[in-house]
Amino acid sequence: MSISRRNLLRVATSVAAMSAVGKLHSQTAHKVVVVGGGFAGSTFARYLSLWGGGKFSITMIDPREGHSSCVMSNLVLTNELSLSQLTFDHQSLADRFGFNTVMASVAGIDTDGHQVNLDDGSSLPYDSLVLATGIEFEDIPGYDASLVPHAWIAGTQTEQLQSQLNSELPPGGTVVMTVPKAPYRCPPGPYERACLLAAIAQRITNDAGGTGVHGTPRVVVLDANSHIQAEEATFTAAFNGLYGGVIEYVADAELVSVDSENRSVVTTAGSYSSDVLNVIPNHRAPALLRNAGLTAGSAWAPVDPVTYETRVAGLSDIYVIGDAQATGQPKSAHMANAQAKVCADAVMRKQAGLSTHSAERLANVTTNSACFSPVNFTEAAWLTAVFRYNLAADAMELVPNSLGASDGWDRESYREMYTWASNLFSDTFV
Amino acid sequence: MQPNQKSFSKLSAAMLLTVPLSLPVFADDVTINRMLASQCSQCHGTNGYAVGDIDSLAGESVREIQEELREMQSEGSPDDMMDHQALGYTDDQIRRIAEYFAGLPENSATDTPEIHLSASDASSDGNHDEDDERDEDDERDEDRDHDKDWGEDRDEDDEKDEED
Repeated sequence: MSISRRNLLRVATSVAAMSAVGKLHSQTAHKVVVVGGGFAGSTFARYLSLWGGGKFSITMIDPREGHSSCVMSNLVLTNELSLSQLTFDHQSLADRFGFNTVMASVAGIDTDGHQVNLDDGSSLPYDSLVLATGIEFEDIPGYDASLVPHAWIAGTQTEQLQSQLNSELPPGGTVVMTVPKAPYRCPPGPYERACLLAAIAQRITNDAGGTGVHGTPRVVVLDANSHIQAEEATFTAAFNGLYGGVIEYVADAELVSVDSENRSVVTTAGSYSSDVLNVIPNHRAPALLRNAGLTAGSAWAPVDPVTYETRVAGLSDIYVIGDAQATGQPKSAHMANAQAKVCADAVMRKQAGLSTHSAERLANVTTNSACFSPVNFTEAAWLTAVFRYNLAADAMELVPNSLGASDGWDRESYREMYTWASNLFSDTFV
Repeated sequence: MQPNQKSFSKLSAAMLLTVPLSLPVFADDVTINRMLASQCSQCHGTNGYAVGDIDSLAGESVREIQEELREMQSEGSPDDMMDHQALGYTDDQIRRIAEYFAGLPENSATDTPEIHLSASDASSDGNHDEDDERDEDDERDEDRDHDKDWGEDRDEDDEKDEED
């Protein structure tokens, strides 16, 4: 074995070694508090444990025992997967990598005192605070998520929509769904969902004797945007071809109000009634970030794209990764994982007194996105892109030619989707 | 702080000694290469140890990884996800990624659990109860036993153990 190989191995710290080292938190360890155990937070805690050389005391706070993945959760709606298959326990991850978890909600951030206040009245001090909170929804008059599921934060919401589809959508029935104004999480996600809602509605109708008996089912897609936001060619072909006569796509339909009891909506493009209603309201960074001044009055948190540290003047040692930050990269699980690694490297580097903005590092800050969208029960489409740091623009930019989408959909992509998800989950949650 | 910087410079020296064909003017900061290479891990597994039917990158040669990515870049009409991904990286970034993964042993020395999601599991209670995990571990061990490179990998792992 060559010298370099030995040394590289030393850098490639093993998981087993890290769980041992990570437990040895000294009084002087750099305290990192991670808020949120989704794709961004779990990846961050996992990778800082791997790369941190035992110099960090990491605590991940999440109000739930485990994270339910939005990725693949549309396949819970089709009854192909169960939610438990997509739910990952925080404590098992923490035990393996040697960090701490606290099951609580964060009530507020004391940015001056460098501590987070929990809903039970206790507080946790931090040297570095990493906010991986995901999104919250804007308020819509009349909208009650307990009656009309968004199923856009996976968990009980997903099962509620699944249950409504299974038991309350009649043959030849109508599903209405709304697509939020961009930017929202998972650009192709709403259109993927529209396809699967149509497939489910067709299956229910066919199982009960077909369209001749019950009429053609309808899926109305009310898009707050002026056009399909991702894989436009693919989804246009799916809506008009595969689901022609079933999916009715309405652009520029911004949500005005919801009658949650009666499952109807009012939009800027008209009013619609349904048997099953799926409202996905517009998104923004959660109140926790907005109240701490981290969004500077906007919807999302501005950050330095090579560290994810806040760019709000007067605030320091606070990082925002995943869907709540404002770098303009697509809001997705795969991207959240990517950003978490860049942030973990930055936190590691800053603690060690190393530059986060050396020319060498700036030339190598990249993230990427890859995702598969099922369009029916057996076939999927895909989308991919690479982003890199552009020094002149001081922003992450799409690398020309790296943006690619499948030509339609096929069975092979459906199989690859499972491999992709297995790897993404394994690189994040176990 | 000191030991950390010391080990970085040790690494840099090692790179200079052993990678003459692609010798950079200044030796790479290996932790930067690690950050860059970790962007492959969403699909190719942590440290390049992939789950299921996708290429593991750990332990591939520098030349292998470079040639594969260059070939993907030169596809006239990219029609595969990786053809597009490959176009996202510069020659220098590809060299760094290749050197990082080439420096890792082909088989992970650790027993990281993996998630194998499959539609056939839908009727079960999920993949998180202990029996399921044990079954998956057994399957993986079986895979390793049948791997013809097992002996070679074992040697590398042993060396690593000594090193530690």
